[in-house]
Amino acid sequence: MPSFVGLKLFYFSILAVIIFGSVFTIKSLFVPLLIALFIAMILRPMVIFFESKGFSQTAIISSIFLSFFVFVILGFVLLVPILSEQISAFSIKLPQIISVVQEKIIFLAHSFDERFPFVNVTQVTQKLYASFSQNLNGAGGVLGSYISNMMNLLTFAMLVPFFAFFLLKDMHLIKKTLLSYIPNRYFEIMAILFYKIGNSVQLYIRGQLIDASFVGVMTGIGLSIIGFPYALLVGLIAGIGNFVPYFGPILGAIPAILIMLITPEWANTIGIIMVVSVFLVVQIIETIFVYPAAVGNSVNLHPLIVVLALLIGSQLGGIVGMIVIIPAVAILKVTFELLHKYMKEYKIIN
Amino acid sequence: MKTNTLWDNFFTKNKTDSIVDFLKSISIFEDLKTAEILRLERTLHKRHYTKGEVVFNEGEPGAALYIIKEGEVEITMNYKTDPIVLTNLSKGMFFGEIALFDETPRSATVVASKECEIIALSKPDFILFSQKEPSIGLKIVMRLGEILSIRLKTSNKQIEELKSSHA
Repeated sequence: MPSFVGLKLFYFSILAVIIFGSVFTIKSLFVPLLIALFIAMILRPMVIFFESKGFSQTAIISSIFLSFFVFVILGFVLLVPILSEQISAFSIKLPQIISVVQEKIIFLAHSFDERFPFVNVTQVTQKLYASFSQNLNGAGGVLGSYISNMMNLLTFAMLVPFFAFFLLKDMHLIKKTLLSYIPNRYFEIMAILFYKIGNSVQLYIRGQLIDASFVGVMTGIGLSIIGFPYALLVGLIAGIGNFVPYFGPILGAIPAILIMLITPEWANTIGIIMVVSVFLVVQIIETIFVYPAAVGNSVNLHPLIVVLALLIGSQLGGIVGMIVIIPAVAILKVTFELLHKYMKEYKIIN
Repeated sequence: MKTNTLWDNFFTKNKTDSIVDFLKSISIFEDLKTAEILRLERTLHKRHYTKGEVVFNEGEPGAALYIIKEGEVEITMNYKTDPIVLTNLSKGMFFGEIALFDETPRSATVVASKECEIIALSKPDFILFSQKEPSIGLKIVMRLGEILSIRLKTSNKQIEELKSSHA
């Protein structure tokens, strides 16, 4: 039996890889579907809570979506003007940032060359800053072209709530239908797996969102208090960057460093200390209090896996791919761990 | 005789009615109203087993309660390497209910001794259903508790009888 099961599992894995690969190639559907799944998982406990109070499922989901839209629209009305102002002001300064960074690199390379003439640092750095400026100039373009490639932003904005609504409403039906195709031998193990994986992923996503929101909001507030320019934008990037384990704090701090380079009143010792203090305090509170409570140690990704995932993510979908791939890898990790555990318990594998 | 499908549809009981009637006849669901049975029915899984097919094995983790809709199953238990038949269950009877409450391995093996239609209620579905419908979940748990306590009393009585017969 084990060899037969092994063969079946092998075919199933190939099929899963083909399906996953096909879906990944159709990025225009994959990203909205993944975001919808995240939203559905975050909102699910709320739906269950109101259902237990006797409300109808459709009425609850419709009300949640309506409130969600009002909340998002309000957020847009209040925050987007400030954010877009900061983004456009920042993009105007982007060429200046690039030239300042280039100057600094050249200066560093020359002084290095004087001390260590045998290394020929200038040639290396010329290549380095060429690639840096290309990446920085391309950063906005990648995001822009990505969104424009996805049919258009409006379709994207309509697809996400549409998918999320039906995933929330008919999740049990989808699960029931899938289980009906599972052979009797694997019925119980799959029923448990669906439940455990769903629970773990739900907890992970909710935890990450709480954690990222904390970092984003606190960094934004902290930088605003010290009067740092583009505080909201830097906070937003720090929050998004926080989805990436290990490198999140560095990624989140890059815009602040760049802004400091071109702003004379912040490019001094006191300015640096103030900005670093904000990031440090937020990171300390996050590491000691928020992360353990919100995310815990349920999904610990090895640094090597994170680096590999980021490389694959950037190849597949640029910056958006890099952010989306980490939760996707975490979901895969939880799935395989639970699959392995239960296959052992049910003696499907030794 | 040629049947009139239109009038058949009007006057014959549909599939939902038959499953509701069937579930109402099961002791663990007898306190539930028709509307409650219909809500519960959405979480149940209908499984088909051929003769000789294993429903679950002794020693495996349990995760579902099973109700026999059609057919018959044989329950066996390993006793000193040899399996002994504990009982045979038929239409309307249920088994595996302990799996809804604890995570210890299955205490017996269940095999379909005839072709079977079995309705399964998985533990995760029951937990989720009880979260959404606490009053229905409580009714089911109370009935199950009652049945399990009767079984415990019966087992205690049998142990007492065995002890006194060996004394």
